[in-house]
This record gives sequence, structure tokens and C-alpha cells, in this order.
Amino acid sequence: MKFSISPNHRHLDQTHGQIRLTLLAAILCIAALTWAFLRSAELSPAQHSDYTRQLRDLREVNALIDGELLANRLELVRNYDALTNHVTRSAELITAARQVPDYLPPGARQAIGDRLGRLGDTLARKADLIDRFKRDNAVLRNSQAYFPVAAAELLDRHSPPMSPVLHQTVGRYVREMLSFARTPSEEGALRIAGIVSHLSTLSHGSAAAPEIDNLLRHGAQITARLLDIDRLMQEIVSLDSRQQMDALFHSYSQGHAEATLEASRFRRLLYALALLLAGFLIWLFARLERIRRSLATAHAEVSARYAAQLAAEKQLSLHATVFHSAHDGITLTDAKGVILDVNPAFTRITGWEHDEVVGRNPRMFKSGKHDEAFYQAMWQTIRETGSWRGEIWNRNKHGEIYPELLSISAVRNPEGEITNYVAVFADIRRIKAQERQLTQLAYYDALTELPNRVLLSDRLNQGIAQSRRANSAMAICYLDLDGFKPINDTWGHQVGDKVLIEIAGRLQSALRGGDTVARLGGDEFVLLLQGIDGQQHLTEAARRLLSLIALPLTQAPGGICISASMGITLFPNDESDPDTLLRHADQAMYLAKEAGKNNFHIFDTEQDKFKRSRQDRFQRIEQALENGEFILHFQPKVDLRAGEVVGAEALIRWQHPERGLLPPADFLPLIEDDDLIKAVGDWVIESTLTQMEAWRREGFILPVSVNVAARQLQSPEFVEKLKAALYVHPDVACHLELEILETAALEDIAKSSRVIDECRMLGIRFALDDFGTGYSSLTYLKRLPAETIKIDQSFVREIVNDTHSLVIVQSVIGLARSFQREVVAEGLETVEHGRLLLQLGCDKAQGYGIARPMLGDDFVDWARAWGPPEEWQSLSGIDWHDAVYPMLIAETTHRSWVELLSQAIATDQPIPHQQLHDARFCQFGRWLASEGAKSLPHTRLPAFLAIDAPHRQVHALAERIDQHWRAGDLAAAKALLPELWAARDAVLKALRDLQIAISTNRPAGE
Amino acid sequence: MDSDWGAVVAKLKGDAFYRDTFARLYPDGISGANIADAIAHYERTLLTPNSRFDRFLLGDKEALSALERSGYWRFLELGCASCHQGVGIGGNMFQRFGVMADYFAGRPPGKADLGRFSVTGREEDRHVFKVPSLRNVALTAPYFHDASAATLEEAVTIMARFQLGRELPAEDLQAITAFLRSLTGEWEGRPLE
Repeated sequence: MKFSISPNHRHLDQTHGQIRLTLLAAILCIAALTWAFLRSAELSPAQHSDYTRQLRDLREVNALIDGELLANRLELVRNYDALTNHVTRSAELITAARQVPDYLPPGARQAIGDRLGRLGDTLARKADLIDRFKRDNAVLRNSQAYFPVAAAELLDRHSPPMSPVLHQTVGRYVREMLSFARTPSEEGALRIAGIVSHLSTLSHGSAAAPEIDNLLRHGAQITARLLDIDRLMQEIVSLDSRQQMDALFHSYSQGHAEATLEASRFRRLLYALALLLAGFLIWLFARLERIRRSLATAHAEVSARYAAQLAAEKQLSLHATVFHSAHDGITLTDAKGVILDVNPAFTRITGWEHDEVVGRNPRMFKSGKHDEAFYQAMWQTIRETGSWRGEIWNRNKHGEIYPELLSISAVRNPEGEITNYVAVFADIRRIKAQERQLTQLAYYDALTELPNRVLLSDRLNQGIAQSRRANSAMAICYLDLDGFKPINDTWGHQVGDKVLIEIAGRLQSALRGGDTVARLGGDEFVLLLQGIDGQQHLTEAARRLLSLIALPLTQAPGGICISASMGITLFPNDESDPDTLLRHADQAMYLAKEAGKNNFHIFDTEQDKFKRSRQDRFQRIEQALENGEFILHFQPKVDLRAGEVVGAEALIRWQHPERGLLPPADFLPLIEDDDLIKAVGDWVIESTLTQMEAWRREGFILPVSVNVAARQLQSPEFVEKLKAALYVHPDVACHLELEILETAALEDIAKSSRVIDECRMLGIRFALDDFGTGYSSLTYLKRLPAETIKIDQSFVREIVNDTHSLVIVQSVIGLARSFQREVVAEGLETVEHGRLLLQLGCDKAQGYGIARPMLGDDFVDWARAWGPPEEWQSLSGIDWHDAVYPMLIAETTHRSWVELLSQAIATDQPIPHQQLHDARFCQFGRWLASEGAKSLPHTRLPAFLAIDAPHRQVHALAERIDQHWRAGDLAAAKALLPELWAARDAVLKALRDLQIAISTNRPAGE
Repeated sequence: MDSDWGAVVAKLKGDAFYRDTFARLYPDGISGANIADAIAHYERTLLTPNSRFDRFLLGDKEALSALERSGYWRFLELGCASCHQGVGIGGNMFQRFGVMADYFAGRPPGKADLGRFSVTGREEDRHVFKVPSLRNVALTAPYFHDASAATLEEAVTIMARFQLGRELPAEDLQAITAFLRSLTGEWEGRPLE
């Protein structure tokens, strides 16, 4: 990160220079201020007062000296202590006064110094004079004191007495002396001198001479000292010490005044300087404030930079940490690829130390495993995209070649030029090993080491591609061992595993190159056989594999054998995707297993296509439900005997947009085994109830039955859902009836009966639909609490022509009657059916013979308009005789006989009956004969007797028809058929008359 | 005391005690000026009050004997007190030795005999000496600058002869010397011996 700081730096330099100048100015100012202060403060009042007192003391002491001197001279004081002290004191004061105060101007100091010097000299001189005064005065005083005493002693001295002259002279001398002593004068001194010389002469030789000499000496002292003292005193007085002192005072005062003046000037200067300094300080503070502000700004700026730098440093340190602690090796090179730095992980992985590789080119790590093109491609990628990532084999310091996962990134400068490359790599030897291991685990079955499902899928894809390329076929064989589970159960899993391993080995040994055998798990294997050349080849291969498996096992005890079932599909005959191919093979394998094991089955593509269309249709059905394409039709149920509409069956129809109205058989079977059937069933119940309510609003109340699929019935939520539906439609709820297929109810009879019981609690009635088609058993019927049994229409439809059906229907009716169940016949298509049902004792029926299913909107009108056919009405009151039933069978037999013949001729087939010509030979003929032989009352009835003639005619006609057919005249044969049918109808008419006759004319009590 | 400063300084420098003490008190150690200053300081401490004469002057008439009292009177009458006056009974002035007669006649002039002349160089100061204080004078024999008087009597006699021009009678001499002996005071509370 770069900072451009030079401009600010320059600014700071300037600021620093200014601050330095400012500080210098401040220091100078303060120095000047100090100087001025000191100059103004030098004029110390205390010092002034001291000095003036000194000068005053000096003057005072000087005066005291003079006073003391005079006192001593006048003998008022006889000691010199005070005088001496004063003199000493004055000398001290002079010395002290030489310390002239500094505050005085130099000129004044000089003057004072001079004056002091002179005064000092004067005082010293005065001290000298005083000293001499003291000496002279002492001597004078003694001599003056002694002189009168000595004079008196001398004058009064008698032995030896002085001469009178001498005495007189001495006397004169003494008087002169005493006078002189009192008032000394020059004349007196001269006079004394004259007397002294005279006296000296006179005393010479005198006995008193020593005394006279002594007196003279004292007198001389007096005269000398007196004169000296007078002179001294005069001189002392003449010393102008007092004037000098005044002058000194004057000088000092003058100097002091000057100094005061100067001090006041300095005070003014000081004040000015202080003002200047204050101004300067204000300016300085203002400037400092400005600097502070700019510094604050700069500080903020620097802080930001510092923070940025810190962050950058932190990031750098982080990068360094990453670099050094990275688990991956990192190589940093310059643009030419010369290594600049590597991290510790580099050394760990490659074995090369930092110093051994820095400055070298990473080419030294090349393993030689990659060709030049590889490296060229790598560099090309780096140049184009800025980075490359991939696995590469390199050589480490020990010469080992190892794989690494390498990322190379180019580092570019802002101009976009590559400045460095960073390579980050990890040793992926372990990862590679793990990869291999994982591959093994992921792609191979652990037990048999065969490819597993995953690898198989891969091989399958490859195989498909190869087949397409080679334009050859590939067989996908799904192989499942037969009876493997028992081996496991009997011998244990270890043996089972061994078997699997052995089988796997055998399969593998049977393969050619390019083929694959995989284990899907358990005992299921898949083989991919390439280059299958036709059906023959495939069959042989399959047989060979099966026989190989069927060889006795060596790994299992007891020499047991195992077989396999194999399903095969052939690509590209079955041009499906890999998963579908496998599924097809699996489906084929199931078929092989169903076909008896140790077998193979080849997948039928056409069949599969059909199934696939089923799937499409399933989805279409789902869509239809969503789209509301289903509608309900209602088929009436009627009471044949009463001639009333007694109910309806709701029947689903699919109003298909393209295919038109579709019956349930076209779509329900597709969804029967799916939950979709429940949704459809729910829709039917709901729609039915809605319709019933609509009818009810029209005043038309009718029980309606709804078909319930087995899956729907047995779903856990069925009853709850039904409750909910009934709750929504409470007014019609009690008229709902549910029809369940007999087969469905029997799938789980316990559950079915439980559900039925629960529904009956809700007031719902049940009907067993299509009864007779299942494994009907009395026990079951007893356990299923359904109120109604609906006879399957396949029986009803055939009762006319098929005695078996007739018997069954009759049995079912009998059964229902025994169990006190209501019975409804389905599939009533003709009046004849109705008649027969009435005769069989089944009053309720439905079918096209009554009405086709119709829309709910049409139903009410139809029901109101409907009336039963005349025949039924005529028969409705008849209580059929038991003997009628065999007649019904006979009737059917006959009708069947004629029918078969008719069909044979119609289809140009040989007539299946024998002895056509003999009327006694057919079944009906035999019945008729046996009846006649019984001599029962009805055999005597005309109706019975009327049977035989037409019957014979039937046979005669049959004979002729046969002859025509045999003669090859089919047309003639066919032409006779109407005649035949008329004869038959005559038979049946007679028979019917007979039935009616025996039932209506029966004797009482029968 | 007939010594020059060089000899005095050399002598003191030979003594370790003086060397150390001077070194402590004066930055330049032993020198003539420092010796003089030290002596002056010493002398100012030499206060020996409470002599019998002092007590007498304070009113204790019995402090002096009759002889001493008469000695005192003679001392005043004869004129001794003209020079020996003041609190120190002398010590505050200079006086020529041989006022009434030439004391130095008939002897070769010694350097010490010059007196104050050797300081001032003035002829008038020849043979002028400081008048000593007579306190404790009885204890400071021998006397005079040349130590020529061995006894007090001798000194008093010479003083009377050359300074006063008198020959003292024996009784005066006896009285005066008795008086002078009464001037011995106490130093630090103890009588001086």
C-alpha cells in the first residue's frame, strides 16, 4: 500500500520552522523581559535604606569622635575606649560604604567611590592624628598633674636649700609654666624657653639640680605637648570630613535619583515588553490553535492511514501465517518462473529445503510422466484464464514420483502484466490410494469382487455405445439363482457366500473380453454379452451359462447343485435406456422363473410396448379424474314380478375427449392395484350421493348401489371417508348401497366382513357383486354379512342356451334363499331372460333387457315411464311348480342343441350333434321320453303331448340341414334354419304351456 | 617574639596540628595574614572578667586590700592611668617607650625596638608601642616588647622612670604591684593562675 505524504510533509516542515522561530522569539522576549525586570528590580529600597543608614552612621560616628576628642582634651573623659571604638567603627563604616550599591549609575558609583576614597584617607588621617593626640594628651596630662607637685616639692625643699636666685627663678619658671599650661602662647613659650635656659645655667652644680632637671623635663613636655595638641586639634578640625560626607551624601542622592529614574524607565520598558509578550502569547495561542486544528485533521488522516496500514499489516501477517502454516505446499515464483519463496509445507511434501530451491525453476520437479503437450496446455490455460488446476505427477527430492493436486495462479500488477506465479499443491498420494480403495468399494462387490450395480451401469452405457458403434447386439442377462435361499437357510451364510463366489468365478470364466459380469446383490447377477450374432447365438450362450451354473458345487457340502433363471433382453432390439434394459431383463427373468426355473426367457419387446401403453393410460386416467372427465351412468334395478323400479347401480363412464364414452372395463382394471382406484372410488361415492340428493329434490327416492374396489374397501381410511361423505349428504345416506366383488371380498374375508359390519352400522347395505365367479363357498357366504347377492351376468346371459349356467343361477338363487339374502340377477338382456328368472324365483334383475345405464338426469323420466313386458306380467302371478325346473333345463337343452347346430352351419362347420335324425337320441328327447315314461299327471296334459311333434320336426329339419351341408350346399342348409327355429319355438311353446299348466292348475295342497 | 613571618609560617607548617586546623579554617592554609587573623580571633575570646578589681569597681570595697586600694590610688595619681585606662586598663592606644627619658639609649637598635615605625614608617612612630592591657598582668611576665623586665616590680619601676619621669618609693611600688596583681581575672569561670 502506498501513501502519498510529501505535500503534507512539506507543510509540516514549514510549520516546524515557524514553531522554531516562534520559540526563539519567545525566548528572546522572555530574556529581554527578565533583563528589564532585573534592571528595574536592582533599585532595592532595602539596600538604599541600608546604605543611607551607613552613610548617616558614618557622619554620626565622625561627630562622636570629634565630641569624644574634645571631651578627652577637656579632661571630661579620662579614657579612650569610646574614642577608640568610634574610630574603629568609622573605619569599618568606610570599608562598608565602599560597597557602593549596584543600582547606582556608573558615573555616580565612580563619584561615590572617589569621594569614599578621599573620605577614607581623611578619616585615616584623622585616626592617625587622634592616635597621636592620645599619646600626647596622656603625657601632657601626667606632666600637668605632676608639674605642680614636683614644683611645690622643689620650692619647699630645704636641705640643702636652693639659692634665692635659683629659688626665685624656679618660682618664676613654675608660674610661667602654669600660666602657659592654662593659656599656651608663643610668647609664653619663648619666655619659658628663656627661663629654662637661665635656670639650666643656675641649677648647674646645685644640689637641687636633678629635681630642677626633672621639673624642666616635665615642663618641656607640657609646652611641647600643649603645642602639639593644639596643632593636632587644629588639624583635626581642619580636616573637612564633614563636608566630604555631605558631598558623599549628595553624590549618593544624585546617583540614587538617577537610578530611580532609570528603574522607572525599565519598568515602563518591562510593561511594554509584558504587553508585547502578552500579545505574542495571544498570537501564539491562536497559531497553536490553528496548528492544533490542522494537526487534528492531520491526526485523523494519519489515524486513518495508520489504521489502514495496521489492517494491511494484519493482513500481511495473516497472509504470512497462511503462507507458513498452510498445509498445502506453496511456491512463489517470478514472472520467469524462478522460485522466490516456498513455505514449510513445500519442504515437507517435496523434501527440498527452502535454500535448495530458491532461485531455481520448478522444472526440476518434473517427473517425466507428462509429455510436453501437457505442460504446453497447462501454460496456455494459465495465460488465458490466469490459473490452472489439476493433478500432476512430480518428483520429490528422494526421486519418488508422486501425484499432487496443483493450482497455479498468475499474479498480475495493475498494468495487467504477470509479475508472479503462485503454485499451491497438495500431495494426494493418500487421496489417490483412498480413491482407488473407494473405487473398489464403490464399483466392486466386496464378496465376489465382481463389478457392482454402479459399475454395471457404467459398463452398460459403454456397452450400448459400443454396440451402436460396432452395429452389433448386446445381450443383457439378468440371472437369479434358483433355490439359493434354502442353501443359506440350511448351510448358513458362509456356505451361501462360498456358493456365490464360486458361481461368480464360473460366470467370469465364461466371459469373453469386453463382456461383463456384475453382482447386483443377493443371488442376482447381470451379464453383458457383446457381439451377439442372432437368436441362435444368444440361445446357445444362455444355455451354456445355465449348464455351467448347474454343475455340482465344489464349495458346498454334499455335492449339491444349484440352477439359475435368466432373463435376457437384447440391445438394440430393445432400444431402451440402461435402467429399462435391466428392468426388462429382470421381467424376463421372472417369466423364466415362472416357467419352471433353470431356464431363460428373452424379453418380448412388443409385449412391453403394450404394457407401456398401459402406463400411459394410467396417467391419463389420473388426469381424467383431475379434469372431471368421468361421469356416472345409472342402470335401473327392477322387480320383475312387481314391475317396479327398485334401485339403480351407479356405473362409472369415462367421457374421453378423443375416444368417446368408455366403459369401466376399459380403464378400471388398469388402476385396480393402485391407490388411484381409491380416489376414483371416492369420486363415485360422492357423485352418487350428489345425484341422489338431486333426485330427492325432485321427489324421487331410490336406493343406489356403488361398486367398491377391493383396494378401496380394504384401505384403512375407507370407513372414515365414507362417514364423511354421508355426513355431507345426510338425507340420502340411508339409501346408499355398496357392491363389492365376491373375489375382492374373499381376498381378506376377515377384514371385508369387519368393514361391512362397520358400514352396516352406518345404515349402508352391501351386495356381493358378480357372485358365482369366485371360489364361492358356503362358509364364506355365511361369513360375509352382505344383504344382497348379485348373480354374475355371464351366467344370467347364458341361462337361455346353457344348462350349466341355468343350474348355477338356480343354485345361487337357492343358496341366497337359504341364507335369506336378497338376490339380483345381472345381465338381463331379453324378455326370455326375465321369464326364466321369474320361473327360477329371482324377482330382481338389471340389464340391457330392462334398460341400458343412463345419465342421472334421464333416469327419473325413464323410471316413471317404465313398465314390464307383457309376458312377465302374465307370469307374475304364477307360483311355479317344482316340476317346472327340470323342464326349464330341458328347454335350455333343446335351445342349446338348436343353437349349436345353427352356429355350426353359420360358420360352415360340421354339425357337432350325432344321430340327428333320431329325436329320442338328443338330451331333450331322452328327457321327454323319461318324463313320458314316468306317467306323471302332467305327462297326460295336452301341452306335454304337444311337445313331441315339433321336436321330431326339429330333428327332421336338422337331418336335412346336415345333408345339405355335407353335400356342400351351405346355402340350402342355411335356408332351412328359420324352419328349424320355428319348430324349436313350437317345442318351447308347448313346454312353456306345460309349465304354466302344471303351476296354475295344481291341485290344492300341492 | 623577634621573628619574621617567613620563620613563623615555616614553623607552623612544620606542625601537623596547625597544618590541618589552618587547612580547615582558611582556604590558603597557613600564611601571615591568616595567622594574624587567627590570633585576633583568639584574643577576642580572651575575656577574663570578674577580677577582684572588677568586683571592687562594682562596689565591693572589700574586694581589694588596703594596700591594693592605695596601689590603685597611686596608680591613678602617678599617671599610670593616663595610658592604662579604659575597660582593659590599657590596650586602646599607642605610646612612645621612653617619654621622659631615652629607654633605648646606650644599646644597639634592634628591629623590635622600632615599634610602630616598622608598620607606618613614620619617624614620629619610632619606639612607639601599643599600650598593653594590664588585666592579668601578673601572669604575663616577662614584660615589655623585648621581655627585658622579668618582674612586675621591675616593669613598674621602669614604667615610672621612663614614662612618668618619677622614681617610685618602695611603698608605692609595693602598693601598685599589689594592685596590679588584683587585676588577674577568671577565664571561663576559673581563676587564672
